[in-house]
Amino acid sequence: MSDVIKFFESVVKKIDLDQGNVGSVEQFDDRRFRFGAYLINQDARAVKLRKGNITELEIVDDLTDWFHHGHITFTNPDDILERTQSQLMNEGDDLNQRAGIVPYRFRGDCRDMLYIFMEPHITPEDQPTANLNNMVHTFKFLFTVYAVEDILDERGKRYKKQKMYFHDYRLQMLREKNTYYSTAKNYNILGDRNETRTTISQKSNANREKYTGEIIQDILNSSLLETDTKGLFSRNWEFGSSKLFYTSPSENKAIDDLNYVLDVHASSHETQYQPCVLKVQRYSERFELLPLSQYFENAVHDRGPGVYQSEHFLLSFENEARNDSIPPERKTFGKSAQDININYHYPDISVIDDFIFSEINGVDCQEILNSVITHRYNESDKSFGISLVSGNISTIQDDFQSLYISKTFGGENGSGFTSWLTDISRESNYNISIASSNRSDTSSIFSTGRNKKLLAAFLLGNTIEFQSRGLTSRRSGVWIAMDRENNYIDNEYDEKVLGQYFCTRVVHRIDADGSYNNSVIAVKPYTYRNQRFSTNDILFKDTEKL
Amino acid sequence: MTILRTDPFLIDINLVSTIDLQANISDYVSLLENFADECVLNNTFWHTDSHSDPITSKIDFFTKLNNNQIKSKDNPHGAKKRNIDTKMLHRKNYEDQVPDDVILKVDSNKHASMIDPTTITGTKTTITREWVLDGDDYGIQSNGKWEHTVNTQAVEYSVEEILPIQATPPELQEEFGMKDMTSWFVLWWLEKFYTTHNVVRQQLVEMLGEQNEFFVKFSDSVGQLKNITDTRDTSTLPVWDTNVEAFGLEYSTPSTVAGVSKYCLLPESVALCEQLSKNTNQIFRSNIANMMEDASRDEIISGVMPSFSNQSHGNNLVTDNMHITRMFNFVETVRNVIQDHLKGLYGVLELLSNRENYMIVNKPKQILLKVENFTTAVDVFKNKIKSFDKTSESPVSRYGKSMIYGTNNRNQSLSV
Repeated sequence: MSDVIKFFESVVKKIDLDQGNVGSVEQFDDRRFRFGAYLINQDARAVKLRKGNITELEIVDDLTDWFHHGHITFTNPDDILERTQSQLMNEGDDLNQRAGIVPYRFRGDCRDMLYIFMEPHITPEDQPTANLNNMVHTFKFLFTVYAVEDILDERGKRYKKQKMYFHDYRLQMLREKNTYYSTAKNYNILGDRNETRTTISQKSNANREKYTGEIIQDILNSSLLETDTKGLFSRNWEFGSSKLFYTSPSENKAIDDLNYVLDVHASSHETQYQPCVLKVQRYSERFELLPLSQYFENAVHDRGPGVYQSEHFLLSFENEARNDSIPPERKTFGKSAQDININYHYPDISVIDDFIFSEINGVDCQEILNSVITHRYNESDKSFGISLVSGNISTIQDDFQSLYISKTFGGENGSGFTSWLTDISRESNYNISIASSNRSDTSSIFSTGRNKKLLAAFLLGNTIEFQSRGLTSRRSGVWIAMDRENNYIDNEYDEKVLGQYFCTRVVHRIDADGSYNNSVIAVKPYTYRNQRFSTNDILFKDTEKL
Repeated sequence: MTILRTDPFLIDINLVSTIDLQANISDYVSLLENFADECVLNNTFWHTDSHSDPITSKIDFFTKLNNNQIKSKDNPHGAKKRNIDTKMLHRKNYEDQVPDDVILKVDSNKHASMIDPTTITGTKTTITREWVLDGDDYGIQSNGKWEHTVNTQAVEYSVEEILPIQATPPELQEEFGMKDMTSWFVLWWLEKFYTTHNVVRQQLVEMLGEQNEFFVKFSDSVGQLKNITDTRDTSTLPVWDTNVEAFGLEYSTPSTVAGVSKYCLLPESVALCEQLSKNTNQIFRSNIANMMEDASRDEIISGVMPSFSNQSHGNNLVTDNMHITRMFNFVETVRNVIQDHLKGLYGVLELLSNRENYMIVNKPKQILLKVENFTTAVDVFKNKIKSFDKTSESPVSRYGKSMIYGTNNRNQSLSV
């Protein structure tokens, strides 16, 4: 947990915003959570948004965004949030005993901070409330409110609501800060470096390059508070093997720089120049930049759950198999191997009654997952070239299988099999897309061409979407398992649907009725075993011939 | 007598801005031994282009040039850069000869500390930056931090010994000008004057007067009369010399090219003209010799053959051979008159008249020059010299690491 969040936590305590509910224990359906949402700004204006006033709260955790964001709607009758000057001292007899209070006053400059925390309440009724503070089951977010709007109700102003849109305060900082960053100014590079007489300003562009992974750290360091970055980068940070001479353009904000460098970043030679994912881990607030394969490697461990395996779901179903029939081959490692942080299963929550399973879209498959031809330019010898083989869709599929799917739990020599298909048209370059790279090293060619396809194949694959009673531990960037507990007749559909899914989007949602639930979207780009689809294209056309 | 000369163009190549730099960062130094002041002069003139008002600067320059008042010694615009310590230049040369990561050992004046004239000492520092575990190892959940390790070691390197001219700068005069220069340089500056901006010319002439010594209208056709050898032509040499050899090889051939034209002609062209003159006159005289008699009589007259002009001009084809003798009597007079008229430019006229007696020095095939820490071979236009052989290097590395001929790579990319 970062010092900034600790500071806001201390502010809440110091000005006693939890008065009357010191433990912040709130009831959600039949469960209790410790929950609090506080609006605080630097003018010493602060207010607690009571759970009973909240009509909608959504916190979105999306794999493609390294930050959290969302919105909250709460009742604000007669604009009470900013108008009230006093409050009743007692609920008893004397209604004239009132204490003066300072109402909240919106600044409207992204400096209205929204601090939200939530964790399961685990203390028995007869004991003082204890904090769980678990990195998996607790979330503590500090957001900035970037937009506010009133929502009218047809019943009148007493039912008026206020809606606030918020996102992570670090994102807001990156959106605001103009960095003066240049690799030429911060030349301190990973590995061995000889001290030279030539000053950095006199060196060639090649001698002013840094690894893209270092640049990403530099940009974050130069634009975020020191307490948000110091000691908060993962040990497994992927620095990549491609260097870049990068100077932030004057009109760029830090977020533009970050997005640019992330776009060209690829993992190191050892991990075959794959795409990487930037995430901020909840609670620990640690920045992680990991190659995609790292997520797969931590999905399974010795045919059991890996450290990135989180919840184990069971699908409810009507069984047509008898209990005494031959059990089907298990599509997951089962829920027996579990602890509080890995492969955990709650019988009353980790059960899915209904779900939406979406096959990869045909147009995505044909129009995105095709061969990519990368036009490249070599600055040192001023030559142009074209990379064909590395971007051919069959090569990409082989890479996808070996880098990722081979590490999954499946029945094809112990691992799964890539679920998306190629065909002869795409493999023979009758259906291609073009990418261009202004550099000619393998990493650059892959980052602009092949890696976009690998990411698309990963994220656009077969998807499951379901609603579930809420759990604070759910988040994107981890695996969940889907399985059936009882026997069933083995079939190709279950080979496709059952197994481990990678969470790409989790929404934590509190509704007006006080319920807490999650909406989860997860992908599974593999089947349990090779289903042997034909790769012929029945719509094949040799477009070279007139 | 052979006079040591150099083509002023070879000095005016604007290689570097001062001669102390020229001595220390290029091998184009032999001209500094004999023409150091001229080099300063050219550097100073180039520098006028950098002034905020080049017109006034050039007028000032030409005025001082005319008056022999151009500051030569320690002239910051041509002789010695301000605040440049020559020994620091030597240190820079040593540094550029060794890898970029060698930090030279220096004395209290920051001059290179040498073991002997060809050996320097220094240190090499390697910094290792590693991303290591920060705190306890929680596997995938661990944090990282940067760790730096510095490793320094002592090293020795051989370098090229400095040249004498680098150790001892050339002698310069306090002030310098037109009167101190040889004719070729005077002509060079005259041409500079003629081709400079017309405002400069007008104002300079106004200041110095139209009758000044150097910056006047001058033509190489002035002094045609002093070219006495031109008088040996078909009207003065005897026709009876049918072999064109009576006065020896040098004086028998009738001149067909005017003396001032010879200034501009190639020696080969002049030789061709002489050969043509000799051949045509041989044929012509052989044919016409039979007519050398008294035309008034239709018979051969025996007696003394028509000879030199002491014979009667009434005789056929008798030339005015005495004209040559008469002209030679006035040689000194003609020269004195021209000399009085041309004053300081008479030497220029002599130069134009006597081109054969030159000994050109300092004409370089290539100049080795320090360019971005490298010893780079350039021509007099400062173009990098290329070669089909990409493996050969510049022959010395005194001014920095040797440059590979014919490579398109930038110097930086060749460094360590």
